[in-house]
Amino acid sequence: MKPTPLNRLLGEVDPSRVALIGTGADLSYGELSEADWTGPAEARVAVGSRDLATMARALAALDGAVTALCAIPPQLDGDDLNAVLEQGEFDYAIVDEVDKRRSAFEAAGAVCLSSDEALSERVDEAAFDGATRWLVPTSGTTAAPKLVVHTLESLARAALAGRNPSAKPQVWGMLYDLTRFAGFQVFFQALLSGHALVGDTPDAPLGERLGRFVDAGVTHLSATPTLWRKILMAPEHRDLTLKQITLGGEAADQPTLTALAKAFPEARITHIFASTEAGVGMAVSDGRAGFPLAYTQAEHGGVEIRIEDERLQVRAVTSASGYAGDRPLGDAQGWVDTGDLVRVEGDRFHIIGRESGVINVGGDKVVPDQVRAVLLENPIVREAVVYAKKSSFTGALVAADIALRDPAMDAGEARAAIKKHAASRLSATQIPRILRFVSDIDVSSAGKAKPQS
Amino acid sequence: MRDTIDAAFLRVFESHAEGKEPPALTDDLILLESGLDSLGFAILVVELEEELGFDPFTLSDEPYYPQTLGEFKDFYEANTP
Repeated sequence: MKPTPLNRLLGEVDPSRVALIGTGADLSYGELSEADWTGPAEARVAVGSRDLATMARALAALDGAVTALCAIPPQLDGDDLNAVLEQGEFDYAIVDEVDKRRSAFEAAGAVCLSSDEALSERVDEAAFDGATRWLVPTSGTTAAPKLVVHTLESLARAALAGRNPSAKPQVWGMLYDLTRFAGFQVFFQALLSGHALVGDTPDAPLGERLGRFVDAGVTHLSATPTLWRKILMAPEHRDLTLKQITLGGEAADQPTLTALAKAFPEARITHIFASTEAGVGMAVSDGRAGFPLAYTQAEHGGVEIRIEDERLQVRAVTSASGYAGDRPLGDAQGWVDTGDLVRVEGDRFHIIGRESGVINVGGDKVVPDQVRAVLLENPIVREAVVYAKKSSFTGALVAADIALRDPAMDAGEARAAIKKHAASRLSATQIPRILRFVSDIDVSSAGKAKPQS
Repeated sequence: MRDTIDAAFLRVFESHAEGKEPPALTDDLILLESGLDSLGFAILVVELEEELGFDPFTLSDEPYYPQTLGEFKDFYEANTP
């Protein structure tokens, strides 16, 4: 049976409601859902616009109308872009006229179209009679990005389950890149229930971005813990009247959860664990870091979880079916290894980091996020990023870039205080042996802290 | 340079090999028997890099494993940029 395409779902919302608040004119649900794809049904189409409204209209028009679609991250370029284009084998690309990447799309065999050429007013019925595959690039921080194959049903599972097209309108802010897994979650949660979604200007200073959210009356906001800490440092956050705060993408630590509860006493605070491969994992809203161990004993929101060899494994009814190119995901029983390492403490389990990010110090495996969490416990530390430094003696040593809360603090004093605190909480191999003080920590497009090069 | 290395060695030894008696820092001191483990040497090299501004072990193309404290110091002197 052909699933209901996205533009039909969006068409169930009152067409006069505001769907997208961007930098230009607002877009109504009527305008969002009325576009149709003008090209052939047997087509694989990439969409790579910087404009949220163009992206949204194109995705709505393409779902249910073509065999496969892929939203291309705006900053994806060079070898990573070529890797995605090679895996995606796109026939068409909907890209902005000014996009310098057009030649790369063309070189990979895609015909470039403007959104006006690709989309028209509603035609009768889409010709394609299956479920469109949504190809979602992984963030590829350590290797070339991979395309994970989803359908609207698997990608929007949580949002479809809670869908209510006539809910009282809320205003959601978009701080994530739409083309990533986390961005899609915000996108579908907002639009499938008829809420307004406020687009971001990611290149602008954070205070200015928050100011736009204040002006638009944003009540629902989702970001990484790293970005939330930066938000708390921006004075504009005091003018936000948030009702729902969501943290994802990194493990949410207790100091950040506590600080958010203090700054936004009216808001419900939810932290989630999700992985692109497994579909949405789990969420908890009790204000405590980690997740209830009870989650491993029962199915939770259509997802089963288990801890094997200190690693988190997930089995979901709507897991992604495989990578493009059809390498299998998961074992025979459908368990997917998330690559995330887990520590059990009392009645909670904590995601302590990615196995792939592990630093091997003379045979001891050190999880950078765990070290970072300890550094952040120290009140003089505002932000930290932990990484490996090559060593001829131990293969690697743990190094950290640190942004101090008070940049004028004496470096020697700060160094001694940080080392003392680290030594009291970490083993000899985990202690950062190289400390660099930096004025600010660069936050990557995925919202995760990264070392300066 | 050689005195700087001695001082750094004793500092790292004191913080890393707590409670142990530091060895006499002669040129023929066998490094593996000095009481510092490989993590200790990794830290020593990092501390020296802070002080001297270079790490000869990463600057040098050939992997080199000094056996005595004398060889360790010679290697630093020979690879000063």
